[in-house]
Amino acid sequence: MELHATRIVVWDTPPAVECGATFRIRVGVKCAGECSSAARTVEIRDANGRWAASAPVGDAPWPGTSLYSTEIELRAPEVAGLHAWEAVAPDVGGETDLPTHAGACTRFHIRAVTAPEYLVKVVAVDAKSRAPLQGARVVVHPYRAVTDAHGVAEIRVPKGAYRLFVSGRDHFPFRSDGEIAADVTIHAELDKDLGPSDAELWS
Amino acid sequence: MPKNKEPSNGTGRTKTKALTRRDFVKSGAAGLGGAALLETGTALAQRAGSNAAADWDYEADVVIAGGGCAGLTAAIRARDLGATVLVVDQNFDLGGRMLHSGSFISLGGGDPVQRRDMKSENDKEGFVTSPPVESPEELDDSVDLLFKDITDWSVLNHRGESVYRYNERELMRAWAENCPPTRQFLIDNYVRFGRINGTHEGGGMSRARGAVCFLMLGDKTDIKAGTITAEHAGVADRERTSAFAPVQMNIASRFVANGAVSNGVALARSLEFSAREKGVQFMLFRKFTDLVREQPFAGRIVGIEAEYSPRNHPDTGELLKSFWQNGNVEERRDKIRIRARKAVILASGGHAGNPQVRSMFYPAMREPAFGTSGQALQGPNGQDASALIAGLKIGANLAGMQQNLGSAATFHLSTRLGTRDAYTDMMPGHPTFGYRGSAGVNVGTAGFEEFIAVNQVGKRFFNEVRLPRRGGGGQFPGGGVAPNNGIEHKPTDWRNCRHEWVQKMYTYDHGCDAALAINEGSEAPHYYSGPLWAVFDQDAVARAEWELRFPYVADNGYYFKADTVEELAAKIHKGHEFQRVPLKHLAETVATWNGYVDAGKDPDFEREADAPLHRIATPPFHALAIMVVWHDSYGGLRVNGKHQVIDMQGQVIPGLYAGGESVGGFQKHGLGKGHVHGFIAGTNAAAEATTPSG
Repeated sequence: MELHATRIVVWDTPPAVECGATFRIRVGVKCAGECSSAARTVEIRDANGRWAASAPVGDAPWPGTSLYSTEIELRAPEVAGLHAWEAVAPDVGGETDLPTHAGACTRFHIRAVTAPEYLVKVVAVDAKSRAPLQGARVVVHPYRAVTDAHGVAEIRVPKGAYRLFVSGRDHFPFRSDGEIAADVTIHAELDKDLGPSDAELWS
Repeated sequence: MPKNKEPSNGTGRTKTKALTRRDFVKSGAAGLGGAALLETGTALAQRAGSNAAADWDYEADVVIAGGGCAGLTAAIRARDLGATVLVVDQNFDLGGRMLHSGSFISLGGGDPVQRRDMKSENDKEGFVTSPPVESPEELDDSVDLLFKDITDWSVLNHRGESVYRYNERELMRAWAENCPPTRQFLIDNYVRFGRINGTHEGGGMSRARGAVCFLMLGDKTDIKAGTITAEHAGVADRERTSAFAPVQMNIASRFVANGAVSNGVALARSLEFSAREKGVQFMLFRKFTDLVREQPFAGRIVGIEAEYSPRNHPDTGELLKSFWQNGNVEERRDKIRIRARKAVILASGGHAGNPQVRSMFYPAMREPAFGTSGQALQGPNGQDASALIAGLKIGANLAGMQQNLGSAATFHLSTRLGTRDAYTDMMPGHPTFGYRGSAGVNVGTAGFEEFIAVNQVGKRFFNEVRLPRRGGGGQFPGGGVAPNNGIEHKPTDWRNCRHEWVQKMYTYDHGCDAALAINEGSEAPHYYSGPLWAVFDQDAVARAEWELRFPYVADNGYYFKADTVEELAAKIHKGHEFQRVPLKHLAETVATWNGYVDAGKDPDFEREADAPLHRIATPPFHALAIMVVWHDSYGGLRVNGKHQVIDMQGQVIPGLYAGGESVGGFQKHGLGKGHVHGFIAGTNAAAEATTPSG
């Protein structure tokens, strides 16, 4: 009996979820031998190896890939912290002349957090032109946001010490470290990556 | 052999049958052409009788190996002084790396462009209407100050390495004295300079000395008038270059005026035009291989040997053609001998394209996965150390091989990913684009935030965001390498390099060294470090808005995409020409990385101190090749102030000159070195007495 390996991928995992809240992830599977994996079942196990959810993947591959995927709703742990969960594609086949598909497993993390208390507002501009930077990434680990057309992003966080990064396309990251114990607005001026000058690069 | 990879010996004879000597005589075409040229009295390269004592096939007063920056300058200079000149070049077109350069020429010593800008004058044609960039004080230069600057023992670069300490002093004095006349010489040969703007690495700390060359956009390309069409300049379409300009020209409004475009095309094509107009003759597809000396290690250099080195179009297989043909000597025999009645000038480039020779200064590094800059344009014989190798065979000495290590320009990690030729931005339209295959994606330094970089076994090796950082060299205005910048700089002051200062200014990140390090995929006897890969996911593509499509990437072994990380590793192993071992750790590395992202800490390389961390999770997954580019050669043949080559006993080798990257002992990046070398060599070669034949 022919045995095909299975590949399993987890994505769209939120960077932080409030303890006990529901969230969604996407799980995709494919056969290494390029057999269709449509309707194959995948399941999620929590940090203790207990079943958390299961669902069949869809009938159409994820755009740009041959992965068959499904979105699965889960509930975050009640205890704050980083939790290692697993996505599993069980073995299938073995009863017909069709290839057997071995099972596969991959690990992913769920960051459970306490309820936010304070608002961090970031205004991102180009340091030279002062123009607002749309689409800049704001990371206050583990929280993430993207700036709007006005260069503004808002993130709510619990009290604590944080490192803020703001980075944008063709711009070097802006960094600010500090304690957040009240609502705060941070003006982030990002230097543009102009690349090497003629003198530095070309001869 | 991978698609569109040229034979390493450059003969490319599978598609073009080389003519034999008999064919050459029988065909008549070359003979008639040669006769016609001779009658003009301007192009005097000629085929000597085959019964000549040394069986010469051609002869000229001055024979030059290499038609790049030093070679073309030397050719025009010697021709101006009355010599007949024949230039042989291994490529299908002239210009060498000058043609794909940025044309930034740093000279000085009170050169005519410095003086023009000091007085806030325009150029004589009235093209340069933008105001001067540098103040009069920053342009107030002299030969003595320039000489002092380029022999200044006290200046270091950001890596704490001496930029000028080891420079050969007679050579430096000659260079400084000839900078002003060389600038004027270039201007007299249709080269137009914009405003002085800074100085090139190795060109001194005290004054501003560099300017780019330009042409004005116009209805037709006319070197005499100083105009170029948008199509020729490559500015009509951002994804197309032309046969005239392998690299798209830059808008030069700041340094010239609106409507001006600049890069090496404005320099190389102008000099080429002038050389052809003045009757310099060119034999293309002709790789210089050996010098002919009266005795193996004694006597005069009397000529050269050169072999046929055709290059074919990567798609059609047709023999490539130079853009201009006038002055070309057609010759297809395998090997020929060319007599030099006065002198031979070696200007065939450096050794950056020859991994065996470049190991002279970096013994551990012979990895052939990383080629020299502009390899598609130059072909497999570009920067092949031919002058150095031929010189050693007849007893020449070398100089300054260790100076290669004193500049980041010698070898550096490119921010252009996904192409085997990562130095240029050549696009489709130039006939050699197919040898590049893809233009690559220039992610900039900031773009290194978007991926992890792995070695040939799929392991990370450095903090990615620090990987491409280079740091500046020791040139005006300084950029923080000396305590005082610009005109405040104090040459030869011990405070410039005292250790308290160096500890403060040292900012070099050794990412390139880590990239080239031995790893568990390195195998005896060479222990190659192997290729490097930027690995990222579809979210990164969305964040950075990289255009992962032709012509930026292609199915040429330098870009891969897969549904899973495991499949990506397998594709790279199968599809890249230098991926000798599987990337067995890649899946584990990505999983570990995602754990670091979730934890907010990168314990391996502390990347969380420099930039946010991003998961690699969303399919499809991508890999772009990261290239280390070997660019400059600062070590080479030893020459004196007249650019005569010196032997192992310190004696001049009669009849032999050298310039540009063939020459060692001068750690200066860029074209300014080669043009002055060519000017000096051309002057002195033309002044040699004509030797009797036989």
